[in-house]
Amino acid sequence: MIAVRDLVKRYGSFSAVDGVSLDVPAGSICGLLGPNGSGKTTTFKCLLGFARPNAGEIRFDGAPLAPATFERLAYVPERAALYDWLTAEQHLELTRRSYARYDEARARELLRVFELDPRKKAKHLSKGQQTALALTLALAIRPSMLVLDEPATGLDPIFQRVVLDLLIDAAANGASVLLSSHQVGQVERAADRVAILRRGKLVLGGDIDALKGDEKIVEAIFAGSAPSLNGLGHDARVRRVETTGAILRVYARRDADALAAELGGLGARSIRVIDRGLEDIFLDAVADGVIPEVPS
Amino acid sequence: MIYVALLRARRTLIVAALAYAVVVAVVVVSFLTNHVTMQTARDPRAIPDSMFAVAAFVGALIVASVTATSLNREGPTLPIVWTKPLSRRRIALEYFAVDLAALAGVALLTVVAGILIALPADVLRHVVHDPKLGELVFRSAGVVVMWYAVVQAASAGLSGRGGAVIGLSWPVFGGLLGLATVWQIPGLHGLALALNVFNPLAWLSSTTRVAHGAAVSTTSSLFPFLPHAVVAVAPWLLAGLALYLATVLWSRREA
Repeated sequence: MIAVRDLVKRYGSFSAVDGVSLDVPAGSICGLLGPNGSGKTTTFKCLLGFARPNAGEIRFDGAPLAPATFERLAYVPERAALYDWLTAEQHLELTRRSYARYDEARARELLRVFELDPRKKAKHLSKGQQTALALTLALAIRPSMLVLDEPATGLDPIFQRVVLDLLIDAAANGASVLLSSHQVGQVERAADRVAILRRGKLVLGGDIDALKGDEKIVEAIFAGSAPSLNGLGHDARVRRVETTGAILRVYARRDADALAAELGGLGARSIRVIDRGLEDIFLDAVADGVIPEVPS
Repeated sequence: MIYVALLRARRTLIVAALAYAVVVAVVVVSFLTNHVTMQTARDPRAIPDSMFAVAAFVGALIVASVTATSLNREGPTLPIVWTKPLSRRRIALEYFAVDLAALAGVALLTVVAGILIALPADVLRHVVHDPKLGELVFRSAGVVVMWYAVVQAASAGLSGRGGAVIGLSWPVFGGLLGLATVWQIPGLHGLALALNVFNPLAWLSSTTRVAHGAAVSTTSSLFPFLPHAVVAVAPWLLAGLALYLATVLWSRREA
């Protein structure tokens, strides 16, 4: 269990992390999402003791961070921090000597899964292979807590899928997994919880299914330009309205079917009701639905 | 993390051994082909065994000045180093222990290389025991360890720039020594002496001379007013202080 309470990290007058709280229970995967500079990496740094928070409390299985915590806690940084001059085999040896929980069979299995040559020096591995080696080292100690910063960086889609499966497997075996990713789809596939940061603040967090709730998108296509529906934007059932040419999208908080029927009455050529994805929730949370306009 | 330190130390010793092997081979071949003769072979005179200690000191000092940024060098790999189930102080101490053992190894290699070079020149039979050998070794080793420690302290809290600290160490330490010589006005001289307390070279200034056919070592330092024992022990104490400071700075830095 990873628990963060009211975490604050300031650099001078700039608050990189401002009152963030989140929980990652055992057996859960929490996706930490946010635009660049939102405080994800700083949160990780505070979690792992790389940076000293100005306020707040961080607990791992109920205890504060101590050297012994790392016997159960593995970290995969965004840029694989490997010794260029060491081979993959030597990295495994370093890990074996450092952790009592090191599982040699698991390490060999992961090397095989990621198709890594143990004799190759880290500097001769591609970026994706370096990420794979960092994941191998992290998972070889069978951690009960995993913190991963962009764990699929540089990996091709096949290995990205492998990584997600490994994380799901770790959580299924009781591990608490906290991962950040720019790829919302990856988080949606693996995580059951999400924490969304914007400008250092937690703007949305919790169970993904609960966050999705009853919210849906009603998409209506009209024969000509979509009609201007000024009143709809102020409707309590509606979060926001987007119009692009003949397409009208209504982001409904509730009563999506009733809204669809109303749009049908306005002469829409076709109407469909779509479940909101995590990407929609994320965009709403970080930008209040304001998406930069694409120049035509 | 001792594994990484050991691999680095092994690499240092291999490089040093190869370098000495090349030097020894060149000298031996030169002697065997009569391209080189030594004056001492025709005109025998006493050679104090402390000369080997001086050579070992120089060898170890050169290597110390290069390897003394081991904590700083961990900058890019801190996410690996600091997520090991060991305290940061313990990790730093492991690095110090292995680095210093490697320096002792380099000093030993230097002595072996010196003996191998002396063999074909047939000068070993002229070597006499310097009664102050023990003291010279103790003081020289103190200066090497102090150099290592001061460079560690200067670089441990930095993010990168370890190479710059290494590069600046020689001119800075040499320059400080020069200041104490040039600044003879009482106030300035006092300031120069105060600055030189942290300069390993200031605690060195030893000379070895041969008198009446026997080797005699004399030592002096930039601090002649200090008791002899204090001058001998001070580099060790300052080294300990600097290593403590390096450990604290490294442990407290943010990655």
